[in-house]
Amino acid sequence: MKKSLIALAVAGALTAPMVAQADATLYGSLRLMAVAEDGKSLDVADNASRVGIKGSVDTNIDGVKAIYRGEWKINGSGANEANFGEGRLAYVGLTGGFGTAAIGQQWTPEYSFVTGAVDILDGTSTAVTVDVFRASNVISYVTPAMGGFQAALAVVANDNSVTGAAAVPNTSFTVNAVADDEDADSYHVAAKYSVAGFTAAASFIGVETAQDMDRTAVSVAYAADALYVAALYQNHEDSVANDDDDSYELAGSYAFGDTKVLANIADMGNDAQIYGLEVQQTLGKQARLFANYKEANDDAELAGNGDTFSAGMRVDF
Amino acid sequence: MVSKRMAGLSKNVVLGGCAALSVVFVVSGAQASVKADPWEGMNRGIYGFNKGVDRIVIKPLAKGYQAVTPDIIETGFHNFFSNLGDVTSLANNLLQFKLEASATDFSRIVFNTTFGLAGLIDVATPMGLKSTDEDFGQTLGYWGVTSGPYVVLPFLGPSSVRDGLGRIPDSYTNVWASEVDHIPSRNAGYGIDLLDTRVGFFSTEKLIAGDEYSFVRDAYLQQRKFVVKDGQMDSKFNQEDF
Repeated sequence: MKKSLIALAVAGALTAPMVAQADATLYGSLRLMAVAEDGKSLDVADNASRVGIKGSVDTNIDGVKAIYRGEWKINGSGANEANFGEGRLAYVGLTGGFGTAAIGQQWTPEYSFVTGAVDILDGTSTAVTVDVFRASNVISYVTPAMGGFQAALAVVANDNSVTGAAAVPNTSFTVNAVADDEDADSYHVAAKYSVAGFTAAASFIGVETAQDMDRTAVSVAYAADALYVAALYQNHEDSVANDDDDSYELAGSYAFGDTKVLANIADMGNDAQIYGLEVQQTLGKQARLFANYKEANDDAELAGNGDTFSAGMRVDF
Repeated sequence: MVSKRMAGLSKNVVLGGCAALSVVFVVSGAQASVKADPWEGMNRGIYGFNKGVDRIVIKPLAKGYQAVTPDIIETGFHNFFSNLGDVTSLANNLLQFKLEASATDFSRIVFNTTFGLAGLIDVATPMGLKSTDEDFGQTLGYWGVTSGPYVVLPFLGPSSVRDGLGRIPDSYTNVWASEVDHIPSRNAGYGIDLLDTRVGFFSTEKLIAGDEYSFVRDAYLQQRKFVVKDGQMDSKFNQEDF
């Protein structure tokens, strides 16, 4: 009797602060892996660990909420062990029946609508043709889903007319290091349509600075009960380097019980190809293990890829 | 229950390859008292021979192995060879177009080889990945090949024409035989695998009652039927077999 009273009191004490901050969510995912690459020694590596805070607050406009989100890398291993790394996301915005408008460092529509479809593996073979993830200095607008159709617009505006800094840091998509006078350094357009398990998506990025670069990405995905397959095509044009590269990637998974078998094939252009095979095991809802083998063909090895075995664990919270 | 516990019987050890198979086809003159066992006379002879070899050599060695080896090491050896055996199982599941069972075997091999430290720890089973232990005899059965007459193979034990011939394709997926080039190590491995298998029978053989030969035969044939159909037995049993 006494025990249950104390338990009740403890529970009461705990719930009070929970209510006060009901809208703020602390979340994260810690992901570590051991990597064995041909010709290198075994390495414990971070696998995109992050921690973040997100939430929404009511506004005095009917049906409109203000949203906020900050997310940071955690260096799980390496020279600066276990410290916070660069920011991944930092944005505020408004969301309601009209859709969502946000400003700050965000996921690019290219990734969230299109190229993310093939980024389904945990190991090193995943999404090797994908090189744009998030961008800073972004103003974005995403429509609500309208009968399966959704579109996104984004503008990257970085005043580098003086500093000459890279317009898009934190990704390998550095637009250029040259000073320019453009207001909009790049603009992003993306749309997707989903029906009966099928999703088709396309995105375009036009870079308006001295170095003209156009990026086009198209993906299709199909999800049934246990099966998922996705295909991605990308074209990158670069006026200065006079490049016009095509790349392709296929990814699929089959789930049974708590186990998932995944595979992907990537053609990075210039005959460089990567093959990946992976098994994932979920341990409850928030933890999972994986083991992945990545095979690079001769041309891919010349481009710096090696046959790699990786195995690791992630815990989400 | 009995058939389940006798499951170990089918996991005979490939010892000397399949040269001994030719002996099988010498038809004996014994009367066929059971339809599934037309070669009973010869089979009883070979069974007696196997029994003698077991009594004099294998069983004492297995007892010694069990007594001397710490349990944790014994389990490690057992898991190690089971993990290699999963390769054979995977190949046969693929041949039977069993997608889910193939994926299970593949995942078992991946997790047991990595997180399970080269197979010494069976981490896959607690994860919910149950071993299916398919072999080529079962694949043939799945394709519709009947088991043919019951056969006792010298040294290798209970089998049938179908399951005996099935050992030949299975030998191609024997990872230990194909990957270990150092002959003494390879033979030591065979020896440990044999003793481990024999230790596994200690609990089962206590169940044997009555005529040992016919008990083992019936248990073997029934168990093979059971595994070929993956446990989906027809409701009617042929009572004459008992």
